[in-house]
Amino acid sequence: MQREITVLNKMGLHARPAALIVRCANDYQAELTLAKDGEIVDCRSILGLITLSAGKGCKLTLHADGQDATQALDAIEKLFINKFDEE
Amino acid sequence: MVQLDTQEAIYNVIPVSPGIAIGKTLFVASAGELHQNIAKNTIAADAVESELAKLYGTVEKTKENIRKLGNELKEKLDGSQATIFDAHLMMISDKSLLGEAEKGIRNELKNAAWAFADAAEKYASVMDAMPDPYLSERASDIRDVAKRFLAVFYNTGDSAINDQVSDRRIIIANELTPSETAKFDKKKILGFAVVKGSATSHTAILARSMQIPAVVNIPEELNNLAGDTAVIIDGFAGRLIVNPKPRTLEAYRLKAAEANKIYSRLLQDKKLVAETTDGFVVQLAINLEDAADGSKLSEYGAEAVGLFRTELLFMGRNTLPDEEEQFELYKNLLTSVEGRMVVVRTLDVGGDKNSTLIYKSNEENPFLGLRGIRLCLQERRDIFRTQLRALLRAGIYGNLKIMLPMLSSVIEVHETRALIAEIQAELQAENIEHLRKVSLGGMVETPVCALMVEHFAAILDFLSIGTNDLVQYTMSIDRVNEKVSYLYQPASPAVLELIHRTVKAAKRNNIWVSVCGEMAGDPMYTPLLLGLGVNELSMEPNSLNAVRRVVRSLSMSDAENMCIKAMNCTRSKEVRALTMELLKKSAPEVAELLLMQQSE
Repeated sequence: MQREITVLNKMGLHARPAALIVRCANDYQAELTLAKDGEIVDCRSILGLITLSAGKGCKLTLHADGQDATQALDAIEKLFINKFDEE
Repeated sequence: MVQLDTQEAIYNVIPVSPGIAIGKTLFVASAGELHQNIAKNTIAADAVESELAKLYGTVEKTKENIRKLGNELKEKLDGSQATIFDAHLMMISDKSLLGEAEKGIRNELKNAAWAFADAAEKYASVMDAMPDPYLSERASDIRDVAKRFLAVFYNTGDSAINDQVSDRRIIIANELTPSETAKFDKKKILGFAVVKGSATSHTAILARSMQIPAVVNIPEELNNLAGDTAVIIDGFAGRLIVNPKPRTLEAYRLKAAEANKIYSRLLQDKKLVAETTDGFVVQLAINLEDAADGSKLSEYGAEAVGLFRTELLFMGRNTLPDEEEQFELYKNLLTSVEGRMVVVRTLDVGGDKNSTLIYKSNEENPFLGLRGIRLCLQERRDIFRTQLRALLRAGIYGNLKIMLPMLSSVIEVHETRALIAEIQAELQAENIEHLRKVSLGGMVETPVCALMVEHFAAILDFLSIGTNDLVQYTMSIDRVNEKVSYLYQPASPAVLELIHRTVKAAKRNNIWVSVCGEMAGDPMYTPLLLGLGVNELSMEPNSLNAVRRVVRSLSMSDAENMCIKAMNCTRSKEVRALTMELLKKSAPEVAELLLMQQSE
């Protein structure tokens, strides 16, 4: 199961948002990945997320696989929509 | 890490800060240079599982280590500083990082330390390359984490000296950067022995300001010296002695005692004016990096702050200091010196001092690139403007002088004056108190500035000769490159000629002129600078007493006569012989200290 999401916060996916995603992903059982232009990283890897180098406006594919996939997708998508509480 | 045998070994190295330190080593790995410190041997194919166990075992221990440090710091600091350790914890547990390290062990049979360091460096270099300065600064976090891992792995104690070391140590490192040394707990350092560096490198300046001995250019293999090795640093003659024999130890204890005796005798003159026997007075000032030391001027026996370097304010942090923070700092400095003059040098980054927050440079020749005033005017006017605003506001609290680094064209002075006028109008409109009459000076540190100095002297309020860069640019050498450091000669007749021009131009235009480079604090050159007619010498605090003694033992006419001879020399060696001859006659104790510096 997957969804297209867009980076909305001004600073992009830097260390702090990446840390929030990791924390959020750890609350679920599902396998969670984010992809940008074919590059796929684990949502539980802060370094993977940071090095994705996703700036504002960047389109990403969020993929989830597992029992609580829908809830996990919702939760992570919400972080993006709320701009990681940054502005 | 190489375990050297316990035989005594003596190395000739370059002394950069005088004194003798006897103690045990603490190894500090430098960011980006982890790879050099790792034994790169492969493991047997059947050892993969046990190597993986080592990897994860070390990761667990490192995590504990970080947690402990985080908790300790939370008590000492506010929460925001300590949260960095949460990020570090996340990084060391990172799936991608550990997956990469695991791959290195399984597929390439690397040992655990090598595999981990490679994986960390891979991520760090990806971050280095990122256009966002915030992200690229995070590369240093990953390297910090890797350092901690390696420190645990090799059991060398923590790489950050602040953490676990209880006794004072001698720091061994490949290279120390300003942001690394800024984090040190200075009370725990006995001395430095570093592979890369020179008399004018950051390590050297720091060591001298801390009044502890330092040597550079130590052989690279010593960078692998295990922690806790007994060593002696001789910052006079330039020796590093590993595993000293009892007899050597005894000899060095005596030498240290002898030097201390002379130092304490020189100390007795602390309160006396630096006046020649025929009545010429030179102002003795200090160079400061840490504004908190402003209150120690009397303790040091200094009459002014001849150079306050503002770079430290901008280094080793994630955000730039704003106007309020700078204003508070400058104001505190100006009030703490109780009315004495403070020369604040505007931000001088570029060259060997940089922060990616300020300028992401891929210049091939940073020393000839966008640095000092060039960077401030061309690339980061925003930072320059904030700094000037803070200075103008703080200026009403004391005797402030503003100094521009790295001048090479009078346009730079005109542009700065215009910017200052603009900011003054702004502050006026906002009804904020500020300095109306600004004393603006410039550093003479490029040959072009020294050659055109007449024009600079006509539009500036004072001049200060930055000999470190002036020597480097005049001799056309990179002062950090140890292969050409033999050409770094402050007593070169070419340099003397440029200083002479500068002093003449200052006198003709009725402005004062100081020297604030390392040359000002080396008593060997005091007779020269005195004879050339410099008004002020600004130096590291621990040089004051020796320089004061030299000034007080000479007559201006002797110094001037010697200068005339020196300017006609063809080689710096002849110049040094002339000054030594004069010193032996008039200030024998200082000459003795200088002789200790010459290798027997």
